[in-house]
Amino acid sequence: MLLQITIYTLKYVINILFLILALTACAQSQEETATVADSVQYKRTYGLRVGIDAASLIRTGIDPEYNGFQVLADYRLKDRLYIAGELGNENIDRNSDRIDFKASGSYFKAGIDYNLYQNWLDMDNMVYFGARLGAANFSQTLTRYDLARDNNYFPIFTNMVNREFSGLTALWLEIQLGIKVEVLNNLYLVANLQLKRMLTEKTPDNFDNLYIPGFGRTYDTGEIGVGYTYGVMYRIPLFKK
Amino acid sequence: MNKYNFILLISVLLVAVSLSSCEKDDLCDPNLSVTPRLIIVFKDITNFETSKTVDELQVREIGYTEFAPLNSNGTTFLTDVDSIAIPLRTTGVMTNYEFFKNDENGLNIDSVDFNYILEEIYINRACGYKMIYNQLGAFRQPEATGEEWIRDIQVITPNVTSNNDIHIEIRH
Repeated sequence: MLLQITIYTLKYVINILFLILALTACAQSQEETATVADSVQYKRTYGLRVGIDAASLIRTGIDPEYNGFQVLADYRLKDRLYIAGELGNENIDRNSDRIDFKASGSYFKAGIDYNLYQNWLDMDNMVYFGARLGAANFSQTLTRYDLARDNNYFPIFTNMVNREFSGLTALWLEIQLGIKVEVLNNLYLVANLQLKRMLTEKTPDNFDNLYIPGFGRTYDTGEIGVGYTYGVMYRIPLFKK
Repeated sequence: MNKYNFILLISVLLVAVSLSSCEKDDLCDPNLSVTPRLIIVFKDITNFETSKTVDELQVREIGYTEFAPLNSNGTTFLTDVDSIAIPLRTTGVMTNYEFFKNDENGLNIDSVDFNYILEEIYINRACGYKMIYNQLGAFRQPEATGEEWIRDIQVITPNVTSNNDIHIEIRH
């Protein structure tokens, strides 16, 4: 069973790598044909694009159990290819039926964005596929738990505790599908959906990682996580090419 | 990409967000191993290999008025019974049970102390924790008068970690 899961993970990683390779190869061949066919060349702005995730700020405002922030950045390498990353911090205080806990920590994600969208004229928008390696360093605190029992012959007590587990880490692979739309000169609106697969994690003794900053909530049934971001980015133009 | 498409995508995302915020909590799967019960089998004092049923049996914690559940259905009174599954206290280090046996010779009550070392084990987010009981001991309380129906009691599995093991053998 475990071996099967490991093989599956490996296949998964390889598939994504091939997909990235295929997309990059595809981009190069398209660029070459474009230079031959077009007589008019539109220059692309290159530079560092930085931004802020509004989703985590809004959630901080409306969800009393959550506070967090995230900064976004990308840097254009080629017409369609960017290196991209996120940096953030999240704190959550979550009450559930049998377990109350807190999680707190920082994370970063680094990888690439590849633009799937063919821009018209000098427009500079993206419908992109992103791949990231994410890493988090965090702590969790168990604040309440119940015992699972099949009867209530003896009185049931809930257990109020304050057990902190610090120095926890997690490493995951993430794919993103998103858009970056230029609404004003060099100002972009950004939105994406994220699918994550845990690679390794350091779990606390006799407890589990229930929420991992950057990865999101975990599920008892698997190693998959989901997430989303929306926000604004500003491109600091450096040069045109 | 035009701005209408962007607005559409943002709305889709907002719907996804609102759906994820009201996701239902995971439910605890009752088939997962929860806090185990003490599994007791009844054997013949003259031949430990042979099961010997108890005609009518009830079990009660000393000082309680209610009888303890003897199986997973919550039944507190069983007839012709050769095995029972009773809960143990998850606080303290001891549970004191009285075993009520009734047959043609009349009612006979014997009391047994079960002591153990508690250990909490994390199950998952939905179920929380379970208790297991280590280094189980079983001791009959001597009676000043009358005849004890329990002639011998043996610990078979000293660590009570699941309902799949036999933990105690009562010989009568």
